[in-house]
Amino acid sequence: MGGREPKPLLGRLGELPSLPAVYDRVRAAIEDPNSDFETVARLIETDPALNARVLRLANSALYGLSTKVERILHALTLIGLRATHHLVLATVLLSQFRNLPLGVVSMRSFWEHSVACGVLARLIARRGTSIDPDQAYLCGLLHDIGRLPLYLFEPLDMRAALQAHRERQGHLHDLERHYLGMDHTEVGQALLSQWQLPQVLCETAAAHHTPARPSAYPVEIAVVHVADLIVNSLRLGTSGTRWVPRLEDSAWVLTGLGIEHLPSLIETAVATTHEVTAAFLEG
Amino acid sequence: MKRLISPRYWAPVSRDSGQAAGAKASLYPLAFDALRQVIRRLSACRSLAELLGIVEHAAGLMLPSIRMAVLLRQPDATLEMVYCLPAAEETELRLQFEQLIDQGQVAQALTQGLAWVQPQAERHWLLTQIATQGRIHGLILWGSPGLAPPWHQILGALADLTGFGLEWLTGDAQAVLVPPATHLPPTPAFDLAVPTDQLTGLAHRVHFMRFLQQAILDNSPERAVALLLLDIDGFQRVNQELGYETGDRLLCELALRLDGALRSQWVRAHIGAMDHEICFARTGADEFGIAVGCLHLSKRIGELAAYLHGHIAEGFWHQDTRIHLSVSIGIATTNGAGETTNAQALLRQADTALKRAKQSGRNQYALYEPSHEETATPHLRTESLLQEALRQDLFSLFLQPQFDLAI
Repeated sequence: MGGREPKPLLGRLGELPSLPAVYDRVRAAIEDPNSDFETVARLIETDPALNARVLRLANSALYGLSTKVERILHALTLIGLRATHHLVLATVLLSQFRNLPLGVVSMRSFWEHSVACGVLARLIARRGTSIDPDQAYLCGLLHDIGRLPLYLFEPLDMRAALQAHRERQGHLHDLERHYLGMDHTEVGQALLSQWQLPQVLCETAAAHHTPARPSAYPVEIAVVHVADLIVNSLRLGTSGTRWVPRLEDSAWVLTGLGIEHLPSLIETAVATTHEVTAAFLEG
Repeated sequence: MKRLISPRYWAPVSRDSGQAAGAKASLYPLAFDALRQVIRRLSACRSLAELLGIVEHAAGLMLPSIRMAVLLRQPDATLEMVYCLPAAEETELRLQFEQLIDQGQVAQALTQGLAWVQPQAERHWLLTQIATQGRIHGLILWGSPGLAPPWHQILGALADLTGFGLEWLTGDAQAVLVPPATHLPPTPAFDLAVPTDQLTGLAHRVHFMRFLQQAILDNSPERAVALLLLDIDGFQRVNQELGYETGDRLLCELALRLDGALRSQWVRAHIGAMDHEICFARTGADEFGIAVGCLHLSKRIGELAAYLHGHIAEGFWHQDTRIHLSVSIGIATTNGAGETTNAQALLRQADTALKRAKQSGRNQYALYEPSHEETATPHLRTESLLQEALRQDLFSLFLQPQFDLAI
């Protein structure tokens, strides 16, 4: 497909809200071999809103803890530093963006889709693969993040793309390229690397529609690809997509899933998604 | 749907059609599901692309590697290819079709309803007519490895449904004129469609009322039909202060946003209505209508209004400022307080409820209650009486001086 000059949009990514300082501090503390659980916990507790939301999520079905945690330190010891890092990242990201009007898609729909994809990716990763489920959750949560700048900076072209997609003129990511010269996978990758987030997040955002492409993280990409399709078919929120993209067989094989696993996975995913979305978006 | 399915599909499968019983047993349940899905979605179809998309989806469910080309009869009686799957194989499909014309198979399909083609390179081809009782609309060419009887029955039924869909879309038009094009776009760039609102792409009022009437007719006692009217409060101000262009943009964004929200797992789980049972339309300049047929949980329809409000709450961007639109929603259902069996009456009830929502502070929803009518009528009456009094100069001025004694 032809299209317009793509580049100006990537230059505008800096105009988006950046990740708050508290995240950088927490991340530095977690990565510092000399710091301990108490330091990290104290850092999180300095931000009351973050503190409350992390506790609510730690108590949600996402982690399935048997006891109720009331202190961050307790949560940290139960779910571990790595998972806490992911949890804090997800929380600050959503808090930063949850109130930003996107125009043609409501924030609620957008984040519900993202959360659902994360939750399902986590379940799939745990069920059939050996990759880190918490990382899969984050990969799923951020896979469509590139649509945020597209909706915010190119509202007219995105509206046209969305209308064409509704009329079945093609997959939304193809139409994005047609109208804007680039699609959300490219923008997402650029945005995540600008935030200096781990490579695996950038790669899954870049390749979740092309899982057959060679990559250093084929399983993560496959898991997110499959989770995205399932969540789109279930219509758990939407990031704009109406018609479900095609499933790549090789990705399905990599997830190690069988058809018989789907009903229980989906049931858990739907229930957990409602709880986690509420924890993120309410209050 | 006024006409019966063409009689050639009435005949039962003959026992000696050469198929193993096992093959049939596994084929039919899926085929029935796929066909039923098409039937259910047919009346919600708004364009040719959508119709063919549904047919393609059903065929793809049963035969994952299917090739498909749709040819429609032009006013000059020639056949024009309007759709092919996959789009990349258009040239091959065109060539294949040319050959079939030369071999006389196209003529055979047009006269006899279908034609099997000699298998070529592992792919088997079948031509089926798109026809309804009175008219032949065109042909569908199907190709798939191992395509054999009794697939002609299932694909034939799909072709028949396509015919019904076409008649539903075109009304009484004799043929669908396809603008000449050198190359076929992935989906038709031309399209015939039921009246659609130009700006938002939503259904038009005409289609909306037809959908609503049909939903009321199809309704069964244990279910209900609901109608929600959404009106943007004070939208005139948006147009006046920000300009019509911004007004149009906001309308469009609101429409797309709510459309996305309506097609969600939430709506299915909470209201019990599937996609094709919902029609979302622009019913006025700044008014939208949502018709929900086959409502299982009519008591929870209020939650739908609250849910829609939740999707508008964050507002809209306009030049770095956030614009909040407040939307009033009026709701009427067929099993609600004033039972009704007519689209116009339901519309009137929803409109009354909408006025009620506006009166009670805007950005709210109200359910229709018959008592609303009583309060509504005197308003009009009083207003008319006042008008009449003005005309007849019946007002007289009295002076009553008032003094503030506190000073």
